[in-house]
Amino acid sequence: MTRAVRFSVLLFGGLSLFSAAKAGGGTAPQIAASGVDLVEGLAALEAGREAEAADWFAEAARLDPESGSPRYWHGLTLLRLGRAAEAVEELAASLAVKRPPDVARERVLADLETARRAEPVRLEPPEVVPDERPIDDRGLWEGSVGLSAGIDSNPNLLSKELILPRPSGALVRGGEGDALGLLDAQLGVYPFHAREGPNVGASLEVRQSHYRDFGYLDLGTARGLVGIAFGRDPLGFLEGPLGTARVPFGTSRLSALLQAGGSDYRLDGASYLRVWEGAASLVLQETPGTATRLDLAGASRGFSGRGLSDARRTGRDLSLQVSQLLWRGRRDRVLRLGVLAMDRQAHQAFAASRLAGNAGLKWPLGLRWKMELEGELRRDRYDDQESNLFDLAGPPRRDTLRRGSLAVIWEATDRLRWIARGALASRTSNVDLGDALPDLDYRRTSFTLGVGWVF
Amino acid sequence: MPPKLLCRASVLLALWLLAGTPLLAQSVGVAIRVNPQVDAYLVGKEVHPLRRNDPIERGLTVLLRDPSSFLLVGFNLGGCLPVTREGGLSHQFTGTASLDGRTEMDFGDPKDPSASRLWLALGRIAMKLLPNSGCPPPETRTPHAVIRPQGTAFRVLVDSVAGTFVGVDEGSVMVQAEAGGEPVEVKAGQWVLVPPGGLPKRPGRPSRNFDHDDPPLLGCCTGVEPPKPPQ
Repeated sequence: MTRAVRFSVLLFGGLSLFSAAKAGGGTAPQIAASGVDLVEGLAALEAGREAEAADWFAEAARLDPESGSPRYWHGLTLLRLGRAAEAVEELAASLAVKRPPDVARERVLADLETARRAEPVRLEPPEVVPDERPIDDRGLWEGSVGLSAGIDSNPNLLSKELILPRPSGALVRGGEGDALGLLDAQLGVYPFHAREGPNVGASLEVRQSHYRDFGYLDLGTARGLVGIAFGRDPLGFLEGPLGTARVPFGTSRLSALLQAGGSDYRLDGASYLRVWEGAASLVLQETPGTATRLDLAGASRGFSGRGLSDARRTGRDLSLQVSQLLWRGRRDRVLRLGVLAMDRQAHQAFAASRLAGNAGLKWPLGLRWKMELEGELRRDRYDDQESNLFDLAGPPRRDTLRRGSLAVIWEATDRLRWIARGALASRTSNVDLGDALPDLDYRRTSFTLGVGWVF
Repeated sequence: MPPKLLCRASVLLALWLLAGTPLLAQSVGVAIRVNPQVDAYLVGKEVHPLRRNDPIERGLTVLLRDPSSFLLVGFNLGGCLPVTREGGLSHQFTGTASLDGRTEMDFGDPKDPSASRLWLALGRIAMKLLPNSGCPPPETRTPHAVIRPQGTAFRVLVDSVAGTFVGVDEGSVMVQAEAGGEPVEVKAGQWVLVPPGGLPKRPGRPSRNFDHDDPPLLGCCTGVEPPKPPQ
């Protein structure tokens, strides 16, 4: 985990330096001035003032040397002026620079060939092809950092009466709470952002929780994800089982997301769990106000077997979730209702099937305020009697988990947001430790206050 | 001036004031490239196809109905004098606008000739404005925001459901949401989204929480021996 955090810090720092260098280093191209000069040249060329047009194009190329368009038009104009040798140089250069000309490549090659033959031809100007860069291009990368602190009534997830030894040997009682801090950072990279088409992206997410007293529960997570997304979304992101993926702004009747990734979880610095995951998500928008989402996900979970990690939990999960999305007037007013079914293969003590109903509501409370409400009712039916951990002759384990959370978010600026979140979880289980003894039931409440910065 | 002429001029002036539009439309730009078809109209006049080199008159609405439509315009909305650079080249345009896809846009406000203003009702536009032209940069209005550039290259997408996206490539712009709030400065390399009825924001990626299925200590203890009740 520590290595992942160091790597992330280096990565974030490197990208920041790269941006700073890009913004301030060398003689930056003057995109706007070059673009206006290019249009002045096109107008002059159209009016038959070819010598003037050549001057405009030359000036446009000087101001933005990375653009192929001014150099192409300069080359074409020089060819019309009978300066074939210079035209060859410019036309060839237009294909060599970073951004290709705004005309079809075949036309550039044909004009180059004509110039090389030094034929006295008066070429007509070609049609301009719109820039292939999406108008809502959001750049190569984006990310966020967050910091929160709060209280957790039951981080050990223990029944109130249950007392267990900590790894250090001291005892912990179920009712004991603790204060915690949480740090998280995310970075998404989109190598093909500057062209239309499917959105390919990779992301890295690191999180670290820190408990004041229960240090053995400090959880560190490093997560890498790659995905390809098809379609558009009004909020610019598609949600999938493994997280979100960037897509262009807009609406599309059908959108899809394929994801794969791996996660590494560490408890108190020791290896706890490693997960390899794959998922597919399909969203069909039936009407402007409704959509159906289908999520299929598979995961291979490997528990290290060291420390608090129980190797018998190692196995595979396969899940299917169907959700109905209902928007009320605006896209940020959404109700989601879903059903999830999951099959978990693991050691007999932990192999189970899961059925869950879940719901979420996102609703703006004002210009800068919004709330997010989530709830879940989950039933886990374990396959084998061995799941009854303390009475192997007892019935297979049956758990019911109810949980809900409410987050109130204040968007202080376009990038800075404060988040207050309260969560409640309650589990009942038929596993009994013995007469008059506590069981696997637990209740947990938590409250955190955090701040997040999007960049 | 003879009284008859004065009378005629007064009538013309009165008609002009009543109509609320100038009798002679003022050209604020030129359609440099039109592909394949773009329609245009002035308020109260018929829709006509816009052709290459056609003048863009103040208040002209252009309609790009086809997803592959493209229009490149050179404009001088502020009516500024041409800017002469070293070497003798004189600009007639102070900015360019590239429109593509299904887009509807008004160039200037016919009721306010002094205003340097564009109205993007729907669609996509990339703007480039001549720095240091001495001309007031045209503000771009959309149903969700007002974008005030400060010598720059920027892109705007207007979608009825998503809202207004503003991305800046050079310079900076101030984005003021129609819903209110303070204007937000967007610098080169940055972008914001103004959702319908909302403020400028950068939607972020929600992070995923990890929850233990069971008490973590249970793995520790059941692997060795069952937990014991307190004595």
